[in-house]
Amino acid sequence: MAELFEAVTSWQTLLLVLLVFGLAPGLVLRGIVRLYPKDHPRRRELVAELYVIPRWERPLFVAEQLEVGLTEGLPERVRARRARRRGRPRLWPAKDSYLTITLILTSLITGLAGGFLQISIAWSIGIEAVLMTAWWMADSASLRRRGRHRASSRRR
Amino acid sequence: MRTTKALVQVALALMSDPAGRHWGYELGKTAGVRSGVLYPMLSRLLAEGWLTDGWEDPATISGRPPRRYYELTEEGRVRLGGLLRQASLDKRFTNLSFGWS
Repeated sequence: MAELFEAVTSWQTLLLVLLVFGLAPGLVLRGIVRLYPKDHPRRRELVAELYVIPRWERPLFVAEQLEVGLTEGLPERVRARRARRRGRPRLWPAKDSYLTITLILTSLITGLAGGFLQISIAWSIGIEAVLMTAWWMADSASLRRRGRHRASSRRR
Repeated sequence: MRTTKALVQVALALMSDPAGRHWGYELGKTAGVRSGVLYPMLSRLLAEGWLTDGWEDPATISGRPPRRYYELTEEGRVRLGGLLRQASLDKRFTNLSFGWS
């Protein structure tokens, strides 16, 4: 009995209670709402709802919101991302295409075939980094060009 | 929109105060519907034009962020009223209390 009392009143229990009912729900929920697209009203809505819910119900509410985020937020985010991509010209197809994967796999297989695991991993990381940088540079250059083009057409 | 038990429960909760403001969490509690079902349904009702939404005035609250509320539109009242009348005759929803039966 004394041990049980000690366990309940220990600082670890207090810390756990503070974490589960105080800090964690808000933090976790803010992470979950990030599954929604940036301007989606549900992001603000769910966080605002949290503060009117009794504290003891908050962990369960947050757990339920994970389901909402995954079933509603994530598909909307994917849809929004696809729509954004459709409107953007593709300059460098390697970012999420098969080219990157093929290059990485080729370097890995070649390295492994030669028995140099570390070298092959280093090669694949290197190739990935070079491709990503090239894609990023091409993409930002295209955005700058489009910005200039829009500004000049507005002046006209 | 397909008439499901969850939709009927939400419709009952909304029509219990047809002119009032409804909040997501409270609506879920009153209707007895999980958030995973409720929020996508509210989005569909908004898209159909049966509900409108808005945000609490920050000047009227303190210590918490403003909440989003939902209100029934005129069309929503008519459509949900019709849906409830149909549902009250449906065998699937006999265990629900429609208030007038």
